[in-house]
Amino acid sequence: MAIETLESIGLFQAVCADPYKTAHKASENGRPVAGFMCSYSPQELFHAAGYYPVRITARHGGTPRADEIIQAYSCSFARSVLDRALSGEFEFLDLVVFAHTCDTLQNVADLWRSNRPEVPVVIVSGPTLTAGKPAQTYFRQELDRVHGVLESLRGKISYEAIWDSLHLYEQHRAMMRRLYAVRRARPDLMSGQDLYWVVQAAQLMSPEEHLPLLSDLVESLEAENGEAECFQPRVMLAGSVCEDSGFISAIEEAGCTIVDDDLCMGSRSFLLPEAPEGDPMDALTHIYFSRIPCPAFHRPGFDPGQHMLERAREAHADGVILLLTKFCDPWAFDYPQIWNTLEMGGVPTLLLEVEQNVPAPAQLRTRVEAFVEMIQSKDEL
Amino acid sequence: MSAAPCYAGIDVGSATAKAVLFGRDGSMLAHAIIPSGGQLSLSAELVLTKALEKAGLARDAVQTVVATGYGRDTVTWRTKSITEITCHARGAYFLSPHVRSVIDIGGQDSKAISLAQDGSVRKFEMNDKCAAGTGRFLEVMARTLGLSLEDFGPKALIADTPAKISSTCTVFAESEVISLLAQGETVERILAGLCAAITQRVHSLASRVGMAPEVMMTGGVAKNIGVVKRIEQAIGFTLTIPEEPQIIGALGAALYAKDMG
Amino acid sequence: MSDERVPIRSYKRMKEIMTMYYGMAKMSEGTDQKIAWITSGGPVEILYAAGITPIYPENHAAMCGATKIADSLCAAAEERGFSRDLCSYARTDFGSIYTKNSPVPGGLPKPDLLVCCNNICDTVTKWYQELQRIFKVPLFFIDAPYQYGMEDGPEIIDYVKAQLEEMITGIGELFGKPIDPDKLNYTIDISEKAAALWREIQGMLAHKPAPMNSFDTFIHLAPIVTLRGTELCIEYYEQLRDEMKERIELGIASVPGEKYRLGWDNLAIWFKIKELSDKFAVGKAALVVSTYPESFCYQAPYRDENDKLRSLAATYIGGYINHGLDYRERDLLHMVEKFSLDGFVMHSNRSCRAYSFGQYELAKRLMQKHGIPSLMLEADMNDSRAWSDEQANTRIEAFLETLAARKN
Repeated sequence: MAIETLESIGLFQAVCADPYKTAHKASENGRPVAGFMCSYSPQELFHAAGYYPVRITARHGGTPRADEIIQAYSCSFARSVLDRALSGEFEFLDLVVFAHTCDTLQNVADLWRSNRPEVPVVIVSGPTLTAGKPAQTYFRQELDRVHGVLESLRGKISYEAIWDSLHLYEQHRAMMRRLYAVRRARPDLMSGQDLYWVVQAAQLMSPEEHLPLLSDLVESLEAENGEAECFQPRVMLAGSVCEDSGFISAIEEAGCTIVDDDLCMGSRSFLLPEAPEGDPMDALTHIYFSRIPCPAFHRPGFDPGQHMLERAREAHADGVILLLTKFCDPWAFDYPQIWNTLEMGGVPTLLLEVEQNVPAPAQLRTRVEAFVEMIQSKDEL
Repeated sequence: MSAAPCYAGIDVGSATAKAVLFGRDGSMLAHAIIPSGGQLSLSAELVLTKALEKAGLARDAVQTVVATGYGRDTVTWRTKSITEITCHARGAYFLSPHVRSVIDIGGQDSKAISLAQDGSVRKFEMNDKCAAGTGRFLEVMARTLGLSLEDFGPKALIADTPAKISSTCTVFAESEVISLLAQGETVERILAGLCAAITQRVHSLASRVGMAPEVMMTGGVAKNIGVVKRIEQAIGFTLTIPEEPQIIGALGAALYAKDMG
Repeated sequence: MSDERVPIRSYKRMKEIMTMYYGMAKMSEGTDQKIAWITSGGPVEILYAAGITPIYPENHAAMCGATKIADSLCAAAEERGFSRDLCSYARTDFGSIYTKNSPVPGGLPKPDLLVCCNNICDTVTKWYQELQRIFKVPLFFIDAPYQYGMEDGPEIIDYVKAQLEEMITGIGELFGKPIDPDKLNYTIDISEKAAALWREIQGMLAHKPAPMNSFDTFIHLAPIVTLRGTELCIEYYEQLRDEMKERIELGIASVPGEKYRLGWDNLAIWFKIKELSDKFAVGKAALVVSTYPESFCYQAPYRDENDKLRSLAATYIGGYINHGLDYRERDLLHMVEKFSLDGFVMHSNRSCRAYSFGQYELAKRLMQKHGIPSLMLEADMNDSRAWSDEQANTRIEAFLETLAARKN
């Protein structure tokens, strides 16, 4: 790996090592910070309102405070973010943004705002149905409402400002797509762990800070000559939230090369359609309705198994590893169909049930190794 | 002592370590099982020594070592490590090429494997991190009831209907067993209930990979006739139980060692 | 006064009606009669107006729970890869589709279309997506956004109304027979009438002593779920209402010697409904109101006689369960006052995250702000594998003891 690449990765890794340091710094410099819960929050709007955007993530460790207000059969992501909020770990935020997704998070939003009333919580109540005129009309109205709420907090937010943010985000997303293209073609240039430092850092930094570093990295990677050397099975990672890079390294140590993903934090955040010119709120609406739907949503005609198979084929993946967070209903409902479709399509699939607040268990490694052996024996035949 | 080379498979489990030796001609020379102590790598060493003694071979006769099982990576002197999933499939297929499914209940893990016609792994499932549905569960329960593991199976068969043990969690089930005893429930019915509870867990694993005959059961719990009968009822197939069900992982590992030469 | 509990006579009639309903639905399988599977909060009026037989998988799952076959059906779904952590209604019904095992001989009749409204949870969204993959028939999805605020804005009502309009047109096109608007208006009217009767009956439980309890209402809500929009539904609830009037006049108590009056939150625990009813009755506690049966007579604040469809849309946004915690707190308090409650029993239902995840907070608010104690009962509506009699009994007894101490 080239020295520049190494140095560049080091910068992203440093950001991840101290996740909210960049946000704290922005805050010290007088910029308000908005924490967002998932990739469905219209970040462009918050960015245009002047907020420094950071993703609210789970962390390792118990959730004693959350356990007092939410049942143990809630997912570890929900419990962990709630516990962090109750423990005062998000006190530096000036705004908390929820986007309506699943049954669990809708209640977490409510529990959060009633137990931490000192920081305003904005809930973007987008439609679950992500197709059709009525849903689009409704979402557009909801965006206008949120726009109004933000203006009441921050003053006038012009359409020009929203466009500026939108363009910046689009540049960033395009650069992320280039990064993933390099990754698919040349997985030997850096480890999957390195890739996810970059991905994770994108969630913790404002795009104007992340983009220059990202561009440098992508350009240096694209400049590399030579052929890809990769003897390990190429694997695509999919599933619910995956914020703990411990899973990435555990999977790679067990012998896989992660060449692509279908994760909310990863490709799903930037495989978005281009915004049509005109009204920026319409553009945001268009993006919401055209992106790969989160499993919590309904898009008539969308086939999650077929989608996964196509993505796996595009990535030339030998197998798919599905990280299923325990108690994540939307993914759990789709899993049998995804498994069957991939099996029919000849792509082996491994389900790993994980907790977001617990490091990858030793047994995970055995499963991944057995999966690698399974793929390799298939290749030998 | 003979100087003919041999190939070793070592399965370092959480409860026991197993070793199998193969000769160059493809014959199984010896096997050994010992309880694994705190130091897994030491258990691997000891179990190999024991197998070599049985075969009348010296340590330097061992050409290749494949380690498998929970402690496979602690065996620093291994030639290669391969997971217990792949090894169990290989070992079972070696014993009977008609095997299409394997159910393995070990000390700390239980797993179900579906095999393709050529013996390769098609799909597998492992239990989650808790001890429910493992040998450990039965061990704790036997201790609670003051029974030896050997008596467990035959005694469980005596009862016509099992007592209802609703919890499959080891900790909760233990207190449930105690309260059943206090209510005057017979030990036989409780044992049958425990077999039913473990079967429920294993059955759901097995169903998720899909069972097709021939089904082989491996691991220490395959020696418990009470569990075996219940699993047979649950999956609707007769189980093939190898003569020594505990060594199938090590056997598979030894076969891989022989492949490597 | 005798401690003998007087059974509800209408129960027999309800059983007849439900047997007839499922029998007729089953008989129409394979005929020209169209069948729709629909969620409990779905706009069934449109189906009845179109002459389509609605079938409720949720009601079916509850029947499987009450007849104690749900565990084996759940296991059958788990064998197909559905996680044990998923909603036990969904698992029960998937299992019944795979095994054909059901209280309805041969299982539910196959659907010609599916109707899903997510005003009760988004689990049904996923559940119906899977049903569509299984049956490969059209799915009409009505999105009723969760309401985080106290009041439903006009844009939400418009959104739901627009979807209802699409559904009406869509069903007309699907079967080449447009839905007659007069018939639809009529169906909406008689549906409302049935809901009003159901509301009236539940209101009668405010009487001391209560003539019937929540365990009964759980059983007697089957017709309002499955038959609202039919004359039969009205006929049945008139009978039940008259019986309740009579019981009040005669002083017949559901729980003889009623000492405590409690509310119930969340779905029933179907496989223990009789045991729990007896358990509370022994402790002289009557459960007199429940958030769950109440949702089938939810009346939206918005009403316009001249725009029945928009009124229907407002109603299908849903009440308790499709609203945030402040709204739920207000509803619970209203129940405390109207039904003179001493406390709440909250069924923390492993299967139902939408319903359950606010309960700790609501229980806390009820206690801290209003002095109303709650019992948290950890269970599942259909999956008995996580249930422990002993644990539940101890909790219930301890709760009744604290209520006794509070009364003294």
